[in-house]
Amino acid sequence: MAFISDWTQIGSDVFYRKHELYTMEWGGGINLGDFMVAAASYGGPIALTRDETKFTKTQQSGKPIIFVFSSSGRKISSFKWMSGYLLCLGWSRSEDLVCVQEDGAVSLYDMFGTYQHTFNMGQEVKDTQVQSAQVFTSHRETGVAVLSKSNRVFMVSNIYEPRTRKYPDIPSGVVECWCVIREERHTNVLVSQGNNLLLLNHLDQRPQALYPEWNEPGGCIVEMAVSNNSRHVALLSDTGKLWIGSSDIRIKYCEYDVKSQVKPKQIAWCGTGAVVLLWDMTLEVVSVNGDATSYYLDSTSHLVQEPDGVRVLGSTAHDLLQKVPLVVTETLGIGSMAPGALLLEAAKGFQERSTRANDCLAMIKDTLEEAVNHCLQAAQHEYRPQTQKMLLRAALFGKSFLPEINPDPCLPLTWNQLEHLTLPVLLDRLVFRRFFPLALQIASFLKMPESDGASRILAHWACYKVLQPSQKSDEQIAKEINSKLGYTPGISYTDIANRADQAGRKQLAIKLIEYECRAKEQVLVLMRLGEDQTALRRALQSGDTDLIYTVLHHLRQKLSSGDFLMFIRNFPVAQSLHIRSCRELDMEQLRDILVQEDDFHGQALLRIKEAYMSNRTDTRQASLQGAAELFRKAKNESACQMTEEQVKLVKWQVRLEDGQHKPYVNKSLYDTLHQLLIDGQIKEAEKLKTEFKIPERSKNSLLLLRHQTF
Amino acid sequence: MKNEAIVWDEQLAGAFSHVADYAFLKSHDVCKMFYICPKKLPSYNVAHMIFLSRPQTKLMDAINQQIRMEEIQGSSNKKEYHLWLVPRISLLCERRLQEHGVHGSFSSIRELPLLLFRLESDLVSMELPMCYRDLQLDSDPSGLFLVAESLMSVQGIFGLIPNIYGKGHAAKQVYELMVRMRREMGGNEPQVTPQIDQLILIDRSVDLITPLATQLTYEGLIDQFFQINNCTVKLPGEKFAPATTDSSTSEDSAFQETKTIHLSSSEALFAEIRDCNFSAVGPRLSRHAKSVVAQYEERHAAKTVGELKQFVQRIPQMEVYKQSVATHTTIAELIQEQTASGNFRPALQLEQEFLKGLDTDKVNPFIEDCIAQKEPLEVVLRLICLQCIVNSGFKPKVLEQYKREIIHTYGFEHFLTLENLEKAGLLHVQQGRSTYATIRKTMQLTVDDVSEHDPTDMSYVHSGYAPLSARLVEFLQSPGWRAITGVLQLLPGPTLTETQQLPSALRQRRGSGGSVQSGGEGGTALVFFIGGCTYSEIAALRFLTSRVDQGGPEYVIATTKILNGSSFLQSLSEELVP
Repeated sequence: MAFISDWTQIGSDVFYRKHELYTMEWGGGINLGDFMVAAASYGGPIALTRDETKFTKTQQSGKPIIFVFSSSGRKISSFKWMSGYLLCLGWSRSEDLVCVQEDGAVSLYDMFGTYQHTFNMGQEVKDTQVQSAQVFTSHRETGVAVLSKSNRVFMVSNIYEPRTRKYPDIPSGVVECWCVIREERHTNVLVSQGNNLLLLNHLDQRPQALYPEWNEPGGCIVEMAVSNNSRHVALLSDTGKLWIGSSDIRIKYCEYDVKSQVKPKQIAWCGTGAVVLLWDMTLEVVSVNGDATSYYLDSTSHLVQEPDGVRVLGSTAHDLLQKVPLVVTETLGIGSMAPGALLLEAAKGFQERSTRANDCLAMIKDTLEEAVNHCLQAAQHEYRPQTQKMLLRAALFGKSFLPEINPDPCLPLTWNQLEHLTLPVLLDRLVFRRFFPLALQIASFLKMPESDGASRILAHWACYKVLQPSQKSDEQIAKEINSKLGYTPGISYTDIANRADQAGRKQLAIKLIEYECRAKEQVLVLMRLGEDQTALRRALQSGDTDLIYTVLHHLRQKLSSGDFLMFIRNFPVAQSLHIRSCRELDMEQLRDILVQEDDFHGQALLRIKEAYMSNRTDTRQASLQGAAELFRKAKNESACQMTEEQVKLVKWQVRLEDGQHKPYVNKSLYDTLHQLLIDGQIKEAEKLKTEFKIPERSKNSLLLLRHQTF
Repeated sequence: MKNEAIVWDEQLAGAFSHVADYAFLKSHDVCKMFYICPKKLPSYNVAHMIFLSRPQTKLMDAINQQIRMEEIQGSSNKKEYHLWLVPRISLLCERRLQEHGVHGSFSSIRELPLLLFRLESDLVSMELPMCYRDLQLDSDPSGLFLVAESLMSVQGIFGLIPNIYGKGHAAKQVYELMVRMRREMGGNEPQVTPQIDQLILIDRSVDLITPLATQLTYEGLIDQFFQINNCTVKLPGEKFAPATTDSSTSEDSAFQETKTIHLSSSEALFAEIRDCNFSAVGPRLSRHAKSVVAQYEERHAAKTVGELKQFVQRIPQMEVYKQSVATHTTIAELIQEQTASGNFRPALQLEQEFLKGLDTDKVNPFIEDCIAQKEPLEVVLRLICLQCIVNSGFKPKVLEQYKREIIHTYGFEHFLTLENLEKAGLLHVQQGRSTYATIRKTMQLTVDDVSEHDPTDMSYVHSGYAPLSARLVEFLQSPGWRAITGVLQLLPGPTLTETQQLPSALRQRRGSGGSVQSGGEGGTALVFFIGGCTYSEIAALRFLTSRVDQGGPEYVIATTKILNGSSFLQSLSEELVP
């Protein structure tokens, strides 16, 4: 029964197993106690750097070096830390290394030590400095929370879209420990200070005090840990009592006496069923029911919390401690009578040509399908190929008695975390480690849809390809990539072009982005590459005016006003859109364009519009006069005449107003005439009639019709 | 703490009522609504504040100010702000917010892709009143992009439309954008069996006559006199006072200056008469009035207790029916008042002469009189533009005289409006021979002996004039556009006849797999008016649908906005304040 030799029973029916994943390739020389350690979850890479708070003999003076290892201890990269005082290291969900500095600057690097970008936690953090920081998994992404030296918590819940959020003030005094708790979309912070336990919620104004139920109250919480799903929490008091309960502190599962005055180095949840405490040489596993067991370690270790277990990272070995899944316990457990176990027994019997096979099969006749599934599932949770093979063989054996069953193909690589991680992410991770052919094979083996599988891998390959130095011309490389990738869904030429640009191969990027069929992405990249002409042309082709305006906006900021206007002359639609926005926002600029284009008619119309924006008669008159002249230049005689007539009419009206102290201005020609007739100014009316050449018929009908109404 | 507040872009709020009314929003934790404007928001304690806005930089500026003022008040840190842009996220707007420095204040910025608002089961509108103006006056094709996007979303739900026809520049541009968008989707095409057989894109500039002609259907007249907005019309309240329940005294109704009436086909009576010629509405209403009386009279026939009980059970329905008849009788009276007054009838008569092509080449004395009487400018402009279009432009002298008369009578401040009408192709100098006579004859635009009560031809919607746009749709089915190539060449813009290749998996279902011939099962056709359409055009297409027994398709109508003569001219005018 080799396959259960590493099981340890905790309480009844619950087994934990500690399984060695790797012998560390970094050799035994590394004492993890001297380092700041950060390991990405889901078996991701490990980052190490000298812990400045510990007094050790250093080889080099000056700036620390950050090392990145694979989970088997193979060195992936190392780079010198050039910025300020490094406070905390962590990994994002997409396996970027997150480095938090004392002044609140957060920098991201990929696992190859390539710098990505930096953001800041805000001015206040910069001024007050950070005392501690945590990198956590938020709703969908990775976040960073910091506690400033002025006892304020600031948080960015997505490091790729940093928006700093401030939490309510904590009273002054030493903060013992704190952690971040997710609650659906919100993120709360649990803080232990003196004898108080406080919950900070960014919607509330002040912290909310919580009171966990202790057997002996009055202790101070010195360590805490939240489970990966944020539902459970473990609190350790200075008196060595471990409180395990729900994350809202309302329900207590158990309280366990650790019987040690020494504060553990680390606490972590092992899945959701147990809490692990780590000391220098021992490891204690306490289940939520209060049962416990301990393991001895041979070196200083570091715990990495995973959704279904905890990884124990030591100087020489890398172990996984996890609860044995129920289906495995049932199938492989000693004396189990579960269908899976019986099927396994039957299969063994069959190989040994024993009648046991028949007996066992008869017992599970009705539950055969369940049995097959159990064997398959158990195989998924096993690491050792022999055990997996044995279980799969049993499943196959059982399956042959079942006419209709089509289990999913089983993957020798899978483990429980894969369910959390999903297959595409696993492939991504292989790809990040540049195992392209392996990833491709897995994808085609699993018959994954193209968009999730092959094309994504190819896209990554292309990104990698553009980074490799090559003899070929940019044109050739772009063509080569295109011929391999085509236009399959899921391929983003934008990503590839961006990668090429980051590598300083701008021309290649330009060639590549030509293949992008999504106009928005294409235009944005072209703009960034400085290919403004092409960007504008592509935006215009897309018909998306928002995109066109975006390019225009970009150009206006970049070019001088004159250059800008010359530039857009060649693009009529862009020009008219620009004119349109000027009409609303910038009349001066509009005039410049019309002048540049020798558009006298347009200038005249603009003048008329301006004339009516002013309430002063003299300004209005001047503008209209200007408009009339422009109409003449535009050879539009009739418009010119009409405008001049209007100027003349207003002159008349002003004169009439001065003489009679009655309002005439702003009346139309006929209304003026009408008013004069009503006022009995027959002479003036006659004069106006002759001056403006009002035909007899018009006037008569006007008089007739109007006088009827009086 | 209450949950959510919505800050509306005022233009959106009306159209939004088609999707979710206040009661619905209230039941989803919305407790307060405000408008986006550069004023301070009233202080109000909510957890979430949602700004619902169209993507326009002006609105972003106003939102910025509102958020800034909230921050000064200190009421911002308790709230989460959200910005929802309808129908799409705009990069320009996001940049604007970033420049203002408020981009980070939003917990989320999303898009709400509401492109089409459903008005009836066969009618959707994009509620873009300025689409035609933007295109014609500012050469701004934003509307076309949105039309293409809305068609892509329609195809996302109802499957690719295999046959696409169209007329006009805008139709062609929309089609090209659709092709482009389809390419952008790559292989992610909707795997939906096509439910719409043809798409017919009509550029408004192909038929500028119809929006200018007086609509004579019941709904068309309501819209012309009282403006229908979002399926509701506001009418003078005092007319309705007696019709409301007896308990309301006359004093109450005095306060009720306007009465808001919801118009929809869910009301059986309105469904019956909405598309009728107005002269047929009176007799129908009186028939219904009689039937109301007859229903009430049945109580005398009820002898036994059982019969009486049945009668009593029917009373609520009868009340609703009675109310409906009363309401529409009142509306019909209001319309009658309008049609009987002023120059409505002489103007209509002139319009019909113009449509027959009579005396369109000189300055018309009746229009001159209208100007001298200072009739509303819209009425005058509508007649002049109509005359100009059917004459294919004026002689320079005629145009000049009309313009001069208008400026002299109504004032110089209308100069730019006239300029706009010229630019939009509604008022222009004649170039070449008039083509209207040929178009009128081939397309049978005017019909002399049309029955208004029991129509056999769509021309009843204008009492003798058939909308050119709807005729184009009718002729596409039979005899086919090939038979009218001469006319299609006379109309502006290219003619579009395209097919979209369906994904192979979906192709088998369709027998011929190619062009839809006239006859056969008919199927469904989506007619999209780019630049708006009138209620008369809708009525004409519904009339075609009502004759499905003749083998034509069932028409579904989409438009950028529903227009009438006044609102169409209004959208093109340039208000200057003297």
